[in-house]
Amino acid sequence: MSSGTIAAGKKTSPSSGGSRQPIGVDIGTANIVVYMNGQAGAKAQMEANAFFTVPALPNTRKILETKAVRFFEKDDRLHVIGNAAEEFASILGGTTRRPMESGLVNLKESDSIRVIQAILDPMIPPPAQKDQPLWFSVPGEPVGQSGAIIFNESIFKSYLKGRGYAPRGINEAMAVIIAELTDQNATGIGISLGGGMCNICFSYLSIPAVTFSIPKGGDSIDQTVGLSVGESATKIKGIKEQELDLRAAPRNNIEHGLHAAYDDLFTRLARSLAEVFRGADTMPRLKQAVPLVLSGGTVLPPGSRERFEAILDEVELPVRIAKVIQAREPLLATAKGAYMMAVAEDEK
Amino acid sequence: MKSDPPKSVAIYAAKTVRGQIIARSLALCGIAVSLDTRPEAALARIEKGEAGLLLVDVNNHLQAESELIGSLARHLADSLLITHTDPHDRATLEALGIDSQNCIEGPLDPEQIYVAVEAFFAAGGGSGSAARQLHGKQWRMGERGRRMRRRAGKVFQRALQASGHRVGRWRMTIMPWMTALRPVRHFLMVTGFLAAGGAAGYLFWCLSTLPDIDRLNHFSPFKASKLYSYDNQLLAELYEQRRTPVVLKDVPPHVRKAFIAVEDARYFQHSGIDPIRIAGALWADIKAGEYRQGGSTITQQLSKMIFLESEKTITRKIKEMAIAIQMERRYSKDRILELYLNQAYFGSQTYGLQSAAEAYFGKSVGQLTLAEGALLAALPKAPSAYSPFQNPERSRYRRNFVLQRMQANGLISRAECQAAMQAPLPTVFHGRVFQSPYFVDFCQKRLEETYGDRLATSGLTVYTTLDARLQAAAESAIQHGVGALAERGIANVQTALVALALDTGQIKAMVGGTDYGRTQFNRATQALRQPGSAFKPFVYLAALQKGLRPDSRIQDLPVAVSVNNGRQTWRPRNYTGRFSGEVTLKEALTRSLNAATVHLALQVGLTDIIETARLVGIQSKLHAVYPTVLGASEVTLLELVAAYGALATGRRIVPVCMDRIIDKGAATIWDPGIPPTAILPATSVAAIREMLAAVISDGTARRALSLGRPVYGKTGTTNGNADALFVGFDASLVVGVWVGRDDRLPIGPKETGARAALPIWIEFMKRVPAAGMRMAAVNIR
Repeated sequence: MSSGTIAAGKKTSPSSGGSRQPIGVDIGTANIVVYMNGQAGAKAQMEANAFFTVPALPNTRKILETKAVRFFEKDDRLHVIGNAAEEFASILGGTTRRPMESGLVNLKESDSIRVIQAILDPMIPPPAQKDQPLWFSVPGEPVGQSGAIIFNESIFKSYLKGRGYAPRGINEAMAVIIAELTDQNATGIGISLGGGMCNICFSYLSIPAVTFSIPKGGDSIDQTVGLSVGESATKIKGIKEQELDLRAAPRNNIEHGLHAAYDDLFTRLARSLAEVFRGADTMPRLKQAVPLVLSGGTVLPPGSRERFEAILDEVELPVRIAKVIQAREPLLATAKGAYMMAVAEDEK
Repeated sequence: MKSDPPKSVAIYAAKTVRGQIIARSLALCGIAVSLDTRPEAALARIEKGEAGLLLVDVNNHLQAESELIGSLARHLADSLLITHTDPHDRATLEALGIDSQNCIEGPLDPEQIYVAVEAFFAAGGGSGSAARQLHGKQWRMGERGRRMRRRAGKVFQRALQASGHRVGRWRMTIMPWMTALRPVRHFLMVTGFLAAGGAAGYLFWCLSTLPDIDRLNHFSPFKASKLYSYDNQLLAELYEQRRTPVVLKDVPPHVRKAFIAVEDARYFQHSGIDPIRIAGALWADIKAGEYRQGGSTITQQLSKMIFLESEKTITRKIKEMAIAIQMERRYSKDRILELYLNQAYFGSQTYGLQSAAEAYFGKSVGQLTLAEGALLAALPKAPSAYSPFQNPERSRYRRNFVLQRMQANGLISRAECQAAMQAPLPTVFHGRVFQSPYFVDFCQKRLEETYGDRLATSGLTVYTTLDARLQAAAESAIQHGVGALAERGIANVQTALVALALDTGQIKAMVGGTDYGRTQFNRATQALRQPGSAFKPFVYLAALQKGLRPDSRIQDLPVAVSVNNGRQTWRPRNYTGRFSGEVTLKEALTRSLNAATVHLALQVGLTDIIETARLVGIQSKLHAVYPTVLGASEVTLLELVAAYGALATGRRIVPVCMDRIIDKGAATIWDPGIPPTAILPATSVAAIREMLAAVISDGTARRALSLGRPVYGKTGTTNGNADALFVGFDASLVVGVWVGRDDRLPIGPKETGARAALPIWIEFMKRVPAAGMRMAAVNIR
């Protein structure tokens, strides 16, 4: 049976409805972030892009409703979504499922789109006027896979249009540049290392001259290390996020594995930068060095920036790098960049 | 007279991004550009005289564009510039009639294109072929030509560097602070702060690199998270910066005045910077011959704290002043003062006035006296130097200086000043609270799974499930038990205790070892130890699930079980070394008969026993070998206790350590109360309870009869007395106690579960209120 009901749930940050405000949305593999104006200035809301299913027993439903947990019911299963899913998975000793994989909608999960929409629904208020600007992040084309992102973009565009907005996509890494490098004339390299993929953009005076992605990210680190040391990816993820310091010498096998996996990811990334930039006819030749900004959850472990910078030094790029910096809020930078674009469009 | 062609370029690019890059570069240097997606549209601009030069970027699309290029070569050679990447295209272009000198070949080079375009117009573009103009005498030959090219290159580079402010309307709209800078620039001009020319350029550079003041709108300083017990006792503060925000209305006027008097007496008169104060500071610097005094207002100090590094440079100072002016234009004086009081550093990782009041005086801001407020106002200038604990005399001097400033500014009377100056300094620093450390560690790990590093900075208020009274009882019982062991000559043992509420699974008490200071390893949750006979109830439960009853009969006779793939034979013996023949299930469990239990296990089946243990909550790996039925597979005390909770209630008990979490916006963000789910039939529960009651009344745990109320449980002892356990329950709590050594050596001769662990359990149960009393413990939050 599929009732299709979305239960009204408790919100971590209640959003006001009906206000005219530009909105930036980052729909990532691990998290969904919405950036918009609040009463005391711009604010971000973040929800895990995850769900957890439990049998649709009357008691369970009642408990979820009592606790104001957000869920929807389908096929005799209750789909607990967002942050609550992770909390439930933790309490019940399971693992969450992801509606996205490698930066794109996970078509192996039949309810992917439904879950993402259910997470987004309460995060995005209804627009006060039709066609209010809303910019959302779009991944770059994976190297050698043209057209891979079109389906992804059109799904979200169609949903957001249905909500009454005028949605526009912005390359995820370009959004990072907008958020972090506006005082550098929006010229530089933005890299967003998310859970599912790495997005890369070279921007010249705010023009996304070269964009691409590689289908590896934080999840691949967790899986690779997990397989190597015989632990679950979830456990590796926990250690990576809570304990890993890439500046310090590894203390055990797991940390050895994580160091090696980071080196591998960063090396692939650096090499792909050199390869793609060299081969791109849209890559402008510049005399001056440009900044490179790292963003995304995968660069949260201390020492990520320094490690990447050291690996990048070994690679010859067609443009000089002035400095490698880390985004001020790595988890929010993409949504913030999208928001800034929406503000710009709104003011026009 | 023929007019000069407009300094305007029409661009047509087969690849839009390349066209955009060229267009943006030329526009950046002041050249009017139009970018068209159709070549006809670009051509039309030339024909209408709207543009003086047609720039065509063919790149890798030469084949597709050959007809167009051929046509342009015939009709527009005077005003045509072609860019392409591939050197092989040169021959094709020449075949189409394009002079190679009309072409720019190679990677997309915005500077080279700009220089070429500039050369075209400098040579009077349009008056001859573009090739002649681009490469004409004026540009090609001699020092002058080189100079002009160099100059154009520099123009481009400068434009690019300055384009952080010139990317155009787009940038202006997304960077509203640039607009806000306008009054700052006006102010600086009006006051003639610096001369024109180089100094003005320097100033502009300083201002152009100002941080985004809008960050203040969503500025959220690091704030300590606090863990409370279920009954509202502060258990621990977790922080990188000890900070508890306070709203200005909660700060007593005399405290506000103290800060204003000593930090910025004209705070309510100036607009962010105080020229009088600056002049005074400058004079002091001149006299000292070095940069010493900043003359910073409270607003400037706040701008430095939030936006800038603390280095003493003129650049930082200018930025600090500019930000201060912006802040004053954007925010009220009260808001700025509130931000300052919450941001100021008071030493010993203490940030903000509220945390300082708690740390220095053990009280809230609202309770601060005049003297206390003055002392706190004295600290931000140099927290260590003026610390009342490190330098009491300097601290007193500085505090009294604050009081005198308050009196001099008419903020307090002479009598108030004199009285406050006599007040004693604090002598005790109220440091980080860290109670029930093993439990706090346990909660912290779970919180970090959700909040990661943010836990120590997010200002969460976490109400845990711990009952402070039960925790005190647990710690006392452990102390008592360790003392009793010591009296028997047994030292260096470790103990652990866990108490769970039967109705919710909430952890009400947890002790993970005898001395957290020496070892933080939590033996209640982390140590995997053999449970010994404490595992047996799961074997008997499996038998009951298969239809046996407490009075069903089994054999207590020698038994031999093939183990290790038949290579060995295992012959379990009873503790007493004797066998009893035929016994009931109840009798076998009551007397903890090993042989009878193995006979029963052979009858029930190992798989069903392991499944039953899993059903009630044992999660650790249970080896599929018969010694498991006598407790050979290692488990944690916490899971064992939770599993006994299932025996007590028939419901799956999931241990929970947090009741709810409130974020700094006062929203409840976690409320994990999931009621236990029924997993066992009532008949099985009644039967196992009957058998565990008999363990107390007639079996190995008779000592517990001294409690004088119905309790149930089972002892456990492992080979060589390495582990001694007792797990049991009453009407509302299930409690487990483990005694052993970290190196797994024997505790001591005859130190069984009944002798080493049970007395601690009894002591704890004696000290906790009866069930009815516990229910009366109202959560008053």
